[in-house]
Amino acid sequence: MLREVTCQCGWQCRGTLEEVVAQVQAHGRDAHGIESTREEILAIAHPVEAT
Amino acid sequence: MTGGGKLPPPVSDTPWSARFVMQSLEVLPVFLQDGRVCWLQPEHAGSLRLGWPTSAQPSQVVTEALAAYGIVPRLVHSTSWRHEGQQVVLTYVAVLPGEQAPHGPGAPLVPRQLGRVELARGDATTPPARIDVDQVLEHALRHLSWLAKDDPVVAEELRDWAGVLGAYEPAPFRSL
Repeated sequence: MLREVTCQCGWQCRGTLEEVVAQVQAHGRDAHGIESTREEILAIAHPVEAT
Repeated sequence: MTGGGKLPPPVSDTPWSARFVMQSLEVLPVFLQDGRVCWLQPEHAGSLRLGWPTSAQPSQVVTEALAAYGIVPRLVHSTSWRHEGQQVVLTYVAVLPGEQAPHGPGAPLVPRQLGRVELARGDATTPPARIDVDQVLEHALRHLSWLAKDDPVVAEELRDWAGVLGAYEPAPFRSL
């Protein structure tokens, strides 16, 4: 199952759970100076239907 | 939004789905600053996009999303739609009280001054090949200009916009 996260700054990512966790952690660190845990990201990552 | 804070909540809870016919809302927040029209662009996207649950009123989705940024619009109005990729995008213009617009550095929505651009034009039966956000904003302001003269509610809400919106009135008999 794919997951998706949309940041308040408009940045968006979609991918497997591991891909999304890695991308959100990198975006939070690089763009906003925020360190986020896997659990925090799981809480805001929504399931996406694959096509 | 820079600093050692916590990860903010997502602006939209509705993920992309191939089964939605019309699943994307675009919000263009506009406001007046020193007598000029400005709009808020997400720091890392061309415009603010939201998922649209099939059971939700779109204007409510728009106002709830803006609330996540601490913004209470004085007017929201659907102004255009366009096909983009595999989705239909319905655009709302949201007029903000100027004092609510974020001005400090690091905000997720960045104020941009709005310039004038030509509208995107298609053929008689086909849409424009490309539509930029600036052109959607130009259309939205022309739409508000018309509404401010035609709709008493809009006219009342946009009383202080009258001078600015006058510049967006169509000029069919412009002298050359």
